[in-house]
Amino acid sequence: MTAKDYRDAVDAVSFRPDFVPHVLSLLEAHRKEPVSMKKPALKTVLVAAALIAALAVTASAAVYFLSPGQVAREVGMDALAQVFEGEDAVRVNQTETVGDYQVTLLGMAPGVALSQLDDGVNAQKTYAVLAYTRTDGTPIAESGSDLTVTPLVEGYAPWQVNAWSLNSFLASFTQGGTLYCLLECDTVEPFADHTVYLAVYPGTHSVPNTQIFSFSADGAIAYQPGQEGVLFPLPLDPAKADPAAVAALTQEDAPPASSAPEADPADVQADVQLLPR
Amino acid sequence: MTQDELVWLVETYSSTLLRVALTRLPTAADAEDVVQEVFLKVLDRAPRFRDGEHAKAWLIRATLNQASDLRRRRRDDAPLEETALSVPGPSEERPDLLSALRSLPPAYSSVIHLYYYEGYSIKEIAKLLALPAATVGTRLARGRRRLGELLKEEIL
Repeated sequence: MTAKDYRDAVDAVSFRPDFVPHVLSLLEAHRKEPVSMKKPALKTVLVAAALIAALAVTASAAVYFLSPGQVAREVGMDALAQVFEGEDAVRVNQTETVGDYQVTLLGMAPGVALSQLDDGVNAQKTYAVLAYTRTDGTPIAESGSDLTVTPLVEGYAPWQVNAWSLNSFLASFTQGGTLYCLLECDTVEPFADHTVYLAVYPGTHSVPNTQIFSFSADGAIAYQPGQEGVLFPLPLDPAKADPAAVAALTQEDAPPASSAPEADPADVQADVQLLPR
Repeated sequence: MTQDELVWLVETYSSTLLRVALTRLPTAADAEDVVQEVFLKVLDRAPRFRDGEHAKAWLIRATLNQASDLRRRRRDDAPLEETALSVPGPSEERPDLLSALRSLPPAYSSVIHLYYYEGYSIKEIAKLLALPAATVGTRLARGRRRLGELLKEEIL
């Protein structure tokens, strides 16, 4: 078999020619459906969520939130929900103000093997769940916010180790006027011998830079004067620190020298040869 | 996510996702169902993507997950003898290429497809699937070897 044989075999499979317009009309119809039709069990879930949250909420929180497990379930990640409900997850429930928002870090699961969630994938991930409410009490209706969320690590420049270098994904939705965000990124546990933060600051997809953060010679990270934002310290187990993994990660993320040729997969194991396509 | 962004995702990535789904599912109709479900999830969950590559990686992973779910449900529902017959054994006649691909562990078939059909490098696949490049390389080599055994021919 050659690559051409493979491409020919795949291309021989014909899909419905109107697939794209079909999906677009389906999405349009779905968008127009009332919420109760999209998720028939939502009201039941909400009632249960309110009851559970009422029992679990801390004295400092002014509103009732879904638990991290319920947030994971709402975005369709049932296996992750079980992780959040297990002993490896950490409930934080810390609230800070960022601009017009009260931001609550509800909890996190620092090191989740994706093989627990998806066969065929074995990467380690960190998950964190946040809830946003408006400081003036008006409900949030939109499913996104103008805040940026990123992990940062003391000792590493914010523009070196952040949500972008750690391949983060953010899923969000609103419920009861609260915006919930589920952040996924490469596990931060290898950095556990440093202080690891979850930074939240104004700006949509605003990559950390020197205008937002200061990075001192001793590795401390702070917001620049006048810059709004919060740094939630993440509770990690220092025993999980892995300096070798960190070295590999930070070396891999370093920008290549401009004169360097396009890198070959040099880190591929010795039994792998480059295959012709 | 705006309507325009969603339309752009559907128009740009449908073809790629349909073919990715085929690595785990036996028919075009199954692949269409799965990809349709993935776009409905995008609409419901409104994930925030940094750029097109970020969106593409998310969509490919979601498609593979959704296809695995469907395959798992089918396997759970199928009678035992039917399940056993779906995996080509050494004594059977040479299976066609896509059947052989689907009989590989999902971890191998998706890497083979992304490499041979989509033309991604090992490093690019590692980024897409959130795997170390060494793991991708190993899966590619082992998948290629097993595919060669099933097809009784050399994989170039």
